[in-house]
Amino acid sequence: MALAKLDDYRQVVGDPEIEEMRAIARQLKGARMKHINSTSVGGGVAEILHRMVPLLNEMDILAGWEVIKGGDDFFNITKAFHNALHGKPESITPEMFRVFIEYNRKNAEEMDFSQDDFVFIHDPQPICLIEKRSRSKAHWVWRCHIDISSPQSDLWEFLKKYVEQYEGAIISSPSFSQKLSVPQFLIPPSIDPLADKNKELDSRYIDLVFEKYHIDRKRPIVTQISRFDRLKDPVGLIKAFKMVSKKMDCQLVLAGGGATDDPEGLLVLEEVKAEAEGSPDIHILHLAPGADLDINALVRGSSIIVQNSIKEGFGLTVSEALWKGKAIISRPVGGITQQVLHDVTGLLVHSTEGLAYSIRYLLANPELATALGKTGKEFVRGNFLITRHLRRYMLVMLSTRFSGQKEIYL
Amino acid sequence: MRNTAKSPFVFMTSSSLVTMTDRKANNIRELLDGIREVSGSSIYHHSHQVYREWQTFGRPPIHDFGYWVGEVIREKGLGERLAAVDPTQYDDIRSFRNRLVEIIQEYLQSDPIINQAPPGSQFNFCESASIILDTGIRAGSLDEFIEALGRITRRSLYYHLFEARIRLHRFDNDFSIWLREHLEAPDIADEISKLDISVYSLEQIRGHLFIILGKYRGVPPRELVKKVVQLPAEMIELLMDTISYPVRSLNRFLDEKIKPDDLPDLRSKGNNRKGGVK
Repeated sequence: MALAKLDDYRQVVGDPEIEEMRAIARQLKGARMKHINSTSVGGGVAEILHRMVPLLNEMDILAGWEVIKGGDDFFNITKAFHNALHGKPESITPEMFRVFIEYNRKNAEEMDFSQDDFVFIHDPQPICLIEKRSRSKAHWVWRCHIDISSPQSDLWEFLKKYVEQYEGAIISSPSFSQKLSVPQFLIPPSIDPLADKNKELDSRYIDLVFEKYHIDRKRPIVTQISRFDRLKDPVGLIKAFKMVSKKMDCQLVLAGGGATDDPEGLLVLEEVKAEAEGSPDIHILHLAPGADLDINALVRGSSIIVQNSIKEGFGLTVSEALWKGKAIISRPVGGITQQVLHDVTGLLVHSTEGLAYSIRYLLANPELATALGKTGKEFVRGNFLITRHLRRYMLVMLSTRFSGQKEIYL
Repeated sequence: MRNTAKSPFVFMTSSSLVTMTDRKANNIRELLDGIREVSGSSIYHHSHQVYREWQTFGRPPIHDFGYWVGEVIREKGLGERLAAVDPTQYDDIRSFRNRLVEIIQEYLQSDPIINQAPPGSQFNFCESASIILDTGIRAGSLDEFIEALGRITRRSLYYHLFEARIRLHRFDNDFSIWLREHLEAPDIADEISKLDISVYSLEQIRGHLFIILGKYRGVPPRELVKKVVQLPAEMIELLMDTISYPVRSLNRFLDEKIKPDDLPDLRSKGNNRKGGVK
């Protein structure tokens, strides 16, 4: 499918919004911008960059995107970093730091920043590339997509030395902020309303997807879309579902894919299958990369969406569900608290028992679920669409260019 | 009222870029210290962001201080008192800040039990930078002004209605000042000045502007919206709801019979105009 053009978003956010974005972009015309992350497929970061880079270019900002390379040893280390930044204890050894830096330096040797005006480094994996800043005229910004509110201290001290060499850091939620000597911009990530994962679908197509996975659309369906990761607590959701199914006839769908930088995923998938064994109403779908239309259809055809994460970066699957007008039940972690306003755009729960009760409550009161979903969709339109995200990135570029002034007249 | 304004209205817009400060509060005493000591930019951000972002979601717009105290640390009575301090009734940040400090100090004199924020729910003091831009849209007459209201973003509305009070240090907004001084339309200006902007979302305010302007133009506001608003169908539907929902007096106005032929074709006028002088 061809990528959407900026003008295609007029139908979603209106002409005035697009005109303003173009006006801001004119101030950055011809600027060269480079994004760097660690994977080209899987996960929210790659998804956003796939859409955002062409849109920036359409507005005459010359954006590019490069991915750092690493072996299994590197990605095992970055997975451990990821867990430790989320507060899960990990043994981080000096050897791990050494290998991490070595891979970064190897990547840096192959990259050229001499022509760039802006460099956006995404997440910790490529963070040491900042060592090349002295040989570049660019404004360097570190974009952190993960929850760093309670990181393991030895790891954070190591990373902080690099973060403070950037001109600024971008975080997704106020609670992720840290004491830093550089500005911390607050920018939530976003979803693309015109991407396969979010666009409107024909109802017949939705039926076909459910038929393909042998899920009965005539009975209520509770769904969680997320990769198989312990931090998403799929096992906890199955336990809650078992409580619900004692009282109500319904089905559970756990659907998600893996990512090239997530070697733990298959292991967790096996744990989930073991927990679901003997329950024919639990459907576990390990989706291949690119199954976006299937995910879209699964959400649109579900009665309720759950995001049971116990730690979360931002949790874009929440906005994806809200955009489809679905009621969502979630734990108040990470950026989810910015998306789910309790009793307004969804329900927040704090325990497995609370989750089970809320599922029963919404299944029994579908009109409430509809109202939450409708409100949620408008909330996402105003705050979490890619157009808003692009606009905020352009503001960061202007802010760094104007040395962080509090009032900038263009 | 003049047919052509002495000088055109220049529509600006402002975008907000939020930055974190190091400062956090876990309880009401720490919040008080923060309110006293953070920058004016931080107080402005936390008192006004709700008006910039709010979109009618089943609860009234409450600034961050009132919301956090009432809903997060559950000091309900104090939260309600703080929420009632309406920042749009202050034409400078210092006075607003002082009033919050007075109320919290008074509360602490009664030696209350101090609630702590749950983990991860501290009050994080932020600041915001404003990036201000000329939209290129001009209005040289009332019809052009009405047409422009359908073409500007919520941010532009915010800039001219909310930021104007702080920028100008007076209890008025850019629209009313222009209507009064450049179009010599004091009645319309006064009616817009009286609009209680602190209880509406920006889209509701847009709806109310169409109600006021439609009344003076003799055109039902729904017709104005249909003719000039350049938003997606779902958003126009919400705007229509906003217009027809809350007010009986408005419904009476909507019931008035106006022949379609009487309606000015505002959009074609807008397309033909050559633009004004800044």
